[in-house]
Amino acid sequence: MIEACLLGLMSLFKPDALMPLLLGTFLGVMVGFIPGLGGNFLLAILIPFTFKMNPVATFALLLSSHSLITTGGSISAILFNTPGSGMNAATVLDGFPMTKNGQAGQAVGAAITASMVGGVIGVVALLGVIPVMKPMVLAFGPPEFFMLTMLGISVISSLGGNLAKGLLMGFVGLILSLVGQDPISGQVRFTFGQIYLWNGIKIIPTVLGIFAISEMIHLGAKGGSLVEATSYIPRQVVRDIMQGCRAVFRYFGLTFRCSLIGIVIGFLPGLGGEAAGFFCYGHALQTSKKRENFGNGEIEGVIAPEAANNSKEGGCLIPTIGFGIPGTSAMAILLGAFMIQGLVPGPQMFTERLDLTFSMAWTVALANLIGGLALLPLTSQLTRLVFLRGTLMVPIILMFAVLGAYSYANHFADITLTLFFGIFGYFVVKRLRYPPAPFLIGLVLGRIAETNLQISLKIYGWQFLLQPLTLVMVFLLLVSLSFPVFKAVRQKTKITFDRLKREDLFFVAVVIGFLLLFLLLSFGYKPIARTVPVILILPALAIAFLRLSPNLIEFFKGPDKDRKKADIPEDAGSQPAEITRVILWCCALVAGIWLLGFVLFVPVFILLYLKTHKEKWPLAILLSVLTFVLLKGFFLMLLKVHLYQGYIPDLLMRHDIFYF
Amino acid sequence: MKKLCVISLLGMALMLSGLILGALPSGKTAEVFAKDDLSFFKRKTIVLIVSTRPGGDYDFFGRLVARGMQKYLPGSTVIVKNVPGGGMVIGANEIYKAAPNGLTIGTFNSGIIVGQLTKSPGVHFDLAKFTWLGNAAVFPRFLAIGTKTPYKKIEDLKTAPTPVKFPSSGVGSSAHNDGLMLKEIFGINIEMIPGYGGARTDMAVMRGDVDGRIGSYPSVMKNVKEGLVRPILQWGVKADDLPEVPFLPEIAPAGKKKIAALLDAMAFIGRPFAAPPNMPEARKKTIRKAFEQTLKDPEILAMAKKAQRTLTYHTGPDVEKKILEVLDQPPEVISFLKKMVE
Repeated sequence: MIEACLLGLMSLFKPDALMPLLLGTFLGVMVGFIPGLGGNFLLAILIPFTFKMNPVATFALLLSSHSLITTGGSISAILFNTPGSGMNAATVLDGFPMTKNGQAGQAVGAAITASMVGGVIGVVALLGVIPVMKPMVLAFGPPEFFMLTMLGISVISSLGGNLAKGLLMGFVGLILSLVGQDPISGQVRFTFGQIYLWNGIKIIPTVLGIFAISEMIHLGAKGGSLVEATSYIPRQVVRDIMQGCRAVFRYFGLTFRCSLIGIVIGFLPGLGGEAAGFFCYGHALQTSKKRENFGNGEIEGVIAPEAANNSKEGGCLIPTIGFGIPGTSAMAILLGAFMIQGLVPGPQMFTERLDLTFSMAWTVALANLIGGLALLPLTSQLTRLVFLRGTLMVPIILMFAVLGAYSYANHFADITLTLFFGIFGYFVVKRLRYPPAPFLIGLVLGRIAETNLQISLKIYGWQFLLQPLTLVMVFLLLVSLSFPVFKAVRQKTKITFDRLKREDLFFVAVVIGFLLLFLLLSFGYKPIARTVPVILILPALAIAFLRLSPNLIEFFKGPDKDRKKADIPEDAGSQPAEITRVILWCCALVAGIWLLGFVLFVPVFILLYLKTHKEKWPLAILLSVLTFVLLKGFFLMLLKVHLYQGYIPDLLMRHDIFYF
Repeated sequence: MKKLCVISLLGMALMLSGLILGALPSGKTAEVFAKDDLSFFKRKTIVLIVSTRPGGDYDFFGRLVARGMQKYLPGSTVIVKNVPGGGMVIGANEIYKAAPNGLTIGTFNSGIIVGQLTKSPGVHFDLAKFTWLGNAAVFPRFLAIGTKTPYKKIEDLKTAPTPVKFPSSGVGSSAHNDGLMLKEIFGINIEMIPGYGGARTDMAVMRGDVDGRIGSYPSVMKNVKEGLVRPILQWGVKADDLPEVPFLPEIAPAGKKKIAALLDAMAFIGRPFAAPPNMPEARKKTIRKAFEQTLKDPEILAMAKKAQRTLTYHTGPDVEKKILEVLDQPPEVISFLKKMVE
């Protein structure tokens, strides 16, 4: 075994393996950093290049690039409030507030270090767990999966801020996760006749909308830059970064625990990588002494998800290499690489080809270390990007967000979905201060929970709750749910509902409308497909009405003399005209891409945006041309990524008039 | 106002130059007049739509075919575009609606036949009208029973005291449909348990939550080699290494021959490659020829062999014939199918 371990390591130091390793590391960080382009995208692009590569080099390229995606992604999550990949969504919750507090350096330093440490722990676990791998993976069946998802969902109740707002968002997320065809009954729910929605509301376009696009709407409307540059001291930033790195070790217990949680979520197929960040964020929140401050810039809120989403990579390799069961969708792509190489995942990977397995493990470890260490010195420069003026940042990030949304599944409708959630995110999350995390947790975990519950009931009946591992999780669940209760009791919080201001009132009314509509639709579905939606909609309606109650009471009784001032939205300074203008630009982007396609329209969009915001000609033209080169030259020609053609180009080609 | 005019004029100029620049590397106008149709594909981009997410067999075969087509349509660039969703219907729709100029081809699985036969609302294609390129791989499909169960033959399942459980990824999936059709054909006491998406089916088999598995050769053989299941029925095409396993068309009961034939035909058609309908004859011939050459190319065959997959070429006309046969179903089969997908 030691021999295989060393052989595995040595095989990476040959140039034909070292080059792909370093290239992959670099690509992973870059693609991760660019908001919108995620891990699966990079893997899918790289696969064709591996046809002619040997196994060690193939996995050196693929694994290194994939492992670094979330490291790169954490930087954009922290600096720009836009997760670089879906798995970095939890990092923005405390990462961006830290940037706004002037602590970007600490946040980024902590994120990168946590990623490194998590990644290495993940790999060590991968190797250490091999003897008990099979029983471990097999210990988790539908009942255990159901309990895990419930644990994840229960975190919703602990997330800071107004409990009613959090719960409402959580329920809305859970209900929206049920959109699509229910695999258990075959019933198609809430799709309004669109086959596009049969597979549900996809998480990546949603995350891009809620974070990236809404932040850009906010930035475009308010003007200026993400963070106003008051003073910038380079040495201070470096010191901050080092402080962030040290924090990972100061909170090592948390780092370690979250790495373990990440590994577990990684090796359980079907939970999805996005869950890892939220699980650990919730765990950090529940175990931290500073939990009151979560959401305002607590470094633990950055360390936890980042450690998990890198350790998860080691975790998901376990069932992938061990049984050919992909732990995440990215691993399914990796299995494609196995096929191409003529390798069969299974016992042989731990006997005859143990050296290859070790080289894969070393790849992940080395990539994390090299990537992290190489990135740290650069971050002091990267943190300056937050001072970049909005007129430049907005069109560029919008472009990447839309590109990322499309690349996810090559459906144009995903772009419209992203736009929709962008507008939703702006009004509901930024202006009305509803927390996005419960919504996303609900969206990711809802349907998985329902499916596993139904299977468990079908196979075991309600006794499924009595299985040993399940019982343990029921206990953990009760502990998790009791947190907000204890908090309320300890602080003697009065449950009050403030009178809602106009925008909030409107939103709650819309939510009630949509809940009632869904309730009505549910009654037309088969009984087994109807149960869970109804169980979710009713409490959601209750909470919505509770929030509405002061206004209703006021409506009937007349105004109260001593009204408290409700929350002032963050964007109180932005004029409706400005907000509308930016939103129209976003709509124009989507419409233009529909009409003319990415390659033709986006460069024009960049030029028009820059000029109408008074940027100088040379810069505008340069950026426009660069965009064109990026889309046509880089994506289309080099990487062979299909970009949406556009209605008019398609028409021209269809009639043999012109070919692109 | 003047500034706005200048800006929009410049915008239009940029678009125009984009059109020109965009055209420069790729195509010239009026290629349609070329006598030799192969030259149409020079400097053109062909999109090969794979109706699943990346990774997995469909994707693998799609990428192999993409490499081959690029070689046999000289000067072209073939890009694989993954368009998953709706049980492969979304991808099939997109292939169907594309321009029939040979620049879009794609692959999906034969299961979508059921969608068309039951007039599922999302289906916007007519399989009879696709321009069929042919088939690249045909796998036998199996019903395999757990080695720990007492059942040895398909007939044993008729008298099973409790329903024998089989996993599927969801109602409407291939395994699910196959199971329900077999239940109808043989009157066996089985129960399909949907919800085991993706890798979860493997886990269910390994854990023993279920009593067996229905699926294609590559997926089921994995479990067979692990000693977890043994195949007791096969259909589509006979597996070379398992000749003793009964073949569905040979043992289907008399009254159920039509449904058995449908099940068998769907497996036989397997994972075909198609192009949009109404393609001009010359273009159709050219791409069919390139497809054939791809599937006979030694390098491509070697790549498939390395991945432990066999390529089996069926011609476009063969696939078309089979599709037309399969689409012609009597009303009782159609009403059974409608009940099945509900």
